[in-house]
Amino acid sequence: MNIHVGTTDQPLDAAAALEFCAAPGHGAVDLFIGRVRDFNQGKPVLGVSYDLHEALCRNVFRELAEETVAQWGSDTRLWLTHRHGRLDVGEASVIAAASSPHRDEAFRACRQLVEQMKHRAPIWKQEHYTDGDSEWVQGHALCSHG
Amino acid sequence: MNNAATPAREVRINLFGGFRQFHDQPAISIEIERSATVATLRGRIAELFEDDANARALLKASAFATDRRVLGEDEGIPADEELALLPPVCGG
Repeated sequence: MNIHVGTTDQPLDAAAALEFCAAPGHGAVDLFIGRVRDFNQGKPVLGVSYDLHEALCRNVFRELAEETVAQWGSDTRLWLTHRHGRLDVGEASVIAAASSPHRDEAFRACRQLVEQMKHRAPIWKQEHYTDGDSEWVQGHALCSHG
Repeated sequence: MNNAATPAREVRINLFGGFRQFHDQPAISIEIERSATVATLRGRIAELFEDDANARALLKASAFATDRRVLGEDEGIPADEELALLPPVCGG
């Protein structure tokens, strides 16, 4: 199995992603860590609450990973995990990793996985601001009806 | 007596993301005809939010899904499966 996907309410483990993606023939591993930042759309941010549909999320993650492997080579190794619940500034919300024999495929595979996750995975975030306000962040529609 | 309407059944729709601010429960249940499509269900939910333009706008931009996949607008409502109402997504 060269794909690992998951969701958790526990802190994410970048070392586990790198270990999973290690292979003797792979000279390149690309690691992406998405973290909560302290400022968005002109407002200071205290933290973010992530909501996700766990079952569908795992299915979509696997679908995205299989598409990525089909695009960049059957020996590509991929890791994608996303956290849910309340996170403080600086905490990791998502970790993606891709390994392959050469760097170009690893870079591109990792980027594809992250970009597709942002557009297609059933995940939502509510930002909490220093003034006490909270807002659900606008995102990408999954539907195509008129 | 001949009743042309198909029998109704109850469908549970789990709410996520921004919908949590428009409803005080994590899900809504709606009785709907067995022959209903996703589009029909969308219309029925819009009736629940008739006094809330923000909720209706979010509904218009949202998709319906099972645990396995996003449903098309003209599809029938799958039997014996809970549904989810998915607002626009923004992971990461």
